[in-house]
Amino acid sequence: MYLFRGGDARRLEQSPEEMQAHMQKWGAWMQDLAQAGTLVDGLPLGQGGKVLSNHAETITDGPFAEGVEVVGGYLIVQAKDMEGAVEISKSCPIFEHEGTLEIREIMSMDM
Amino acid sequence: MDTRVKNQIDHLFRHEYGKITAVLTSSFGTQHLESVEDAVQEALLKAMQAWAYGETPNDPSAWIYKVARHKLIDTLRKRQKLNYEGPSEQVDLPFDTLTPGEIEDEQLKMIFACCNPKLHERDRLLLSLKLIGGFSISEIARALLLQDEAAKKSVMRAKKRFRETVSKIEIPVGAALVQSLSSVVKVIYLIFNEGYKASDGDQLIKQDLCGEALRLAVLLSRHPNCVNSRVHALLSLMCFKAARFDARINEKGALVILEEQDRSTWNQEYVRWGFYHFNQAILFKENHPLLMEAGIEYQYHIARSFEDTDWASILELYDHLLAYRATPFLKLNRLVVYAKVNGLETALEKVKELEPDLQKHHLYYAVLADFNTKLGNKAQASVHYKKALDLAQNKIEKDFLKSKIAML
Repeated sequence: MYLFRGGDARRLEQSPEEMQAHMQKWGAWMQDLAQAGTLVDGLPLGQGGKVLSNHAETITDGPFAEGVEVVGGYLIVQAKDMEGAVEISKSCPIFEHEGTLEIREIMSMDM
Repeated sequence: MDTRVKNQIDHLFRHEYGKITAVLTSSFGTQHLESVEDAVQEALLKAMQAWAYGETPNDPSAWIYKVARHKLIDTLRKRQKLNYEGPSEQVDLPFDTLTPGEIEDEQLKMIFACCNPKLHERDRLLLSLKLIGGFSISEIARALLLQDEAAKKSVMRAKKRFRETVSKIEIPVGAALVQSLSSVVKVIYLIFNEGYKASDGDQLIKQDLCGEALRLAVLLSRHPNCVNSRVHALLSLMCFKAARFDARINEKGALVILEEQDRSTWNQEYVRWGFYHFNQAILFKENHPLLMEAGIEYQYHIARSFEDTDWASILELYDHLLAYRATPFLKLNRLVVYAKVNGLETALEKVKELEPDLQKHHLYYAVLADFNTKLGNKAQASVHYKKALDLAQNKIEKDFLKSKIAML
């Protein structure tokens, strides 16, 4: 699973034209993954949310952890191993905006 | 596909920016312009992030509008720290029920607001690009060959004056419409010329300026109260010129004059639109400078080759044009045509008479040099070309003049 973080500061400076171009790059990137049979699933995440803690008694607006960029979306891909997942992620358009991409393995139930 | 329609899809986000800024400013008022722009920008950002995953909503405009409107009300509520309920019912536009025609009307209202005759001409140009065209500051800077910081300041000042001057967003009626319409037509032509000017720099953004001018003029031409002979003449003129956009600069980035252009590379669709709008313009049976300018372009395009051009008719059109406004540059252009009809010697003498007005401009010397070259006076030509080269401002023109000197 790819977790996308950050890049928001750069994005706010974009012109509508650049936003459209950037969106089309993401579209093309994901289409490539889909065609290669790598793409499993993925969705964007909204900015706001709630954080529950303390036995669900404390509910705060979030996630706005200081200094940490929130996750803006995720994508599940199929890769042979971690190395393969890293390789696939290198062409992700998020790097254009100095965002980061975190890769986590989804654990399988039938080991 | 109609290239004018293709342009709409290529620049969806940019056009949505203008469209939704117009509708929201119209319903919330010009005093909230900054917040409107921020809200639209943020909505587009959301659209970019959400739509990147492949699914685009059936009605992208309505999607962006809803997000932007929501954001705007949110901002205004927070700022006023009270229960801001949005604009009154009468002015809040239910976007979902707006017909494409009504959305076009909102954009036209915004165009009239940006081109308010009380604003400076430069402000009108900047506001139109920013608020209607959806160009960002740095795109405006690139298009008008300004520094980012300078463009930013100019746009800020223009917006300030806009908020102070323009309170109502509307399509004027009666005498005010005539005056405002002439201002709008002028601004559109200005935008087009900024894009069409042969200069170095980003050609794509220049082309976008021309495209935007065409889009605005098409909007005007579709509205029964706004369409008139001038709008059609402007469209005709711009389409004819746009047809040669690529032909006038070769693959090396060098200027190609009309005489040497490969006519088969002219965009035939634009040429057809040029003829269509010209025919529409003359139906009104009015004479005005734009019709003369369009008429000159018309003559260039009905000629099968440069040699076939009907120079006598073009000269006549220039004579009419000069009766409206006799600027030194128009006089100079007329004399280039005059030379084709009446010979180089007499034309050369007449060009020299323009010296007091044009002695600081490279075009004056370029014409003198060209005439002298054709008359076989190489030494004279060389002197004039060098003078022109000294005065020319941009690289494309300088390179052109250098190539002429090399050919002597």
